Amino acid sequence: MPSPFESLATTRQADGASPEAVREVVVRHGAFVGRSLRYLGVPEADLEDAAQEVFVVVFKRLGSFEGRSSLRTWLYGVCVRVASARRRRASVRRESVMPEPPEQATEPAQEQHLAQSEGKRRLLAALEQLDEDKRAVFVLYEIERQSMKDIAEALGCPLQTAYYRLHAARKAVLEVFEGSQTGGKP
Amino acid sequence: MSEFQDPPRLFDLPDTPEVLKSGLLEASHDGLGERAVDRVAAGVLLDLGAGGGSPPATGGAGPSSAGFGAKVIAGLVGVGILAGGVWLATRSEEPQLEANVPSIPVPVEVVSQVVTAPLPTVNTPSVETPAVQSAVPKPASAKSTPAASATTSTLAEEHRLLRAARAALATEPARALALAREHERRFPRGVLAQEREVITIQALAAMGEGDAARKKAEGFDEKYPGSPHRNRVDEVTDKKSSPVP
Repeated sequence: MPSPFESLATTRQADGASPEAVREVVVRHGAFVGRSLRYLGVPEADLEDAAQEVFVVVFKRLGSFEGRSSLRTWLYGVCVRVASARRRRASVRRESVMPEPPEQATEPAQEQHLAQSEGKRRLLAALEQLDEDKRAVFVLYEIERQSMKDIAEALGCPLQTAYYRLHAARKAVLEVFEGSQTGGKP
Repeated sequence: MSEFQDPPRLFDLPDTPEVLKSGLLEASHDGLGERAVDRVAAGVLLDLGAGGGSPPATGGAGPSSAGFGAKVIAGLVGVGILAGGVWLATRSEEPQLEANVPSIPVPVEVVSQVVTAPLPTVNTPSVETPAVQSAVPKPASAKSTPAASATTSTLAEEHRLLRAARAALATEPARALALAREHERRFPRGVLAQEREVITIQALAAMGEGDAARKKAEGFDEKYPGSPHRNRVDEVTDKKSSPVP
């Protein structure tokens, strides 16, 4: 039996919002959603599409928000699920279409920027080593600076499990960075 | 209260490698840019208006039917909208936000090429996107202003034109091109200008106008460096036009 919010979500939520309100929500939270998706592993070329998907899900499922967690926590949960699906799709696409991910064009001005973004590049490489669950906890805690309680809620796991994942993720990330500092491969 | 205490974050620990700290710092400011957010907003409106939510044909749009969803939107938008204004701290507001967003009156970025006036209050359902437009009665409490109506009308019309253009691409590229040009004529600096350019390039390529498509694609690269559509553009021109000398 559908919950009350499920009934509402598919029938009345999308048109319950004015275009101005929709736009404002996206403008308010768009930067955060894009950032979360990027560090959760959504390929750069899919970022805007994925962000759009997050907001469409949010508007269609407004009724599912019961106010027991913060809106931000709820939004995190949607981001994590969309990112997970996108990563899987991108992975299938790469395997079936291309031998490796498309190379990003680099303009002269970008090269300088990239040189200044060593930390970011290594961080992204380190995150790639993590499984989805650990990556999500790491991103939400270390980058988004959310509380572990909120993270556990967003991910739908016990708090203790979230702590375990954070501990394991940190260990793996630090190993990558410490390894690369001493000449190892990042 | 939790029985656990959150550990200090890596960024705050003295032993964390500096390069990791700099990566974390950069990551915390690494959101979507304003233009990208604009495009996402336009896409969301398009999706919702294009029948994504299967809006009912009659009724259901008033305050009572919007119910809790409308309250949530008001919460997501927060009190900052009442002040309108410009989002001045694009790169610094997000990581510092606390979990309970609605309580924080962060100014909202409302500048786009079609939004030039301070926004009205939240519930201004004066004009919906096309699929919903005729089905949505205007609540008596709506405080629509001419500027707001113009904004939503413009967005809806942009969506309508480009949706039709996109639909025509596969079978009637000439029609797709004509619609894209119509968009350009009417909305030269519209929110969906980038999407229009992509459709134009795709249409030209589909019509066998490889050189024109490639020229347009070069202009696109200059105008929108780092665009997420770049791969799509490159793909089209690589496939349809003669090789770049």
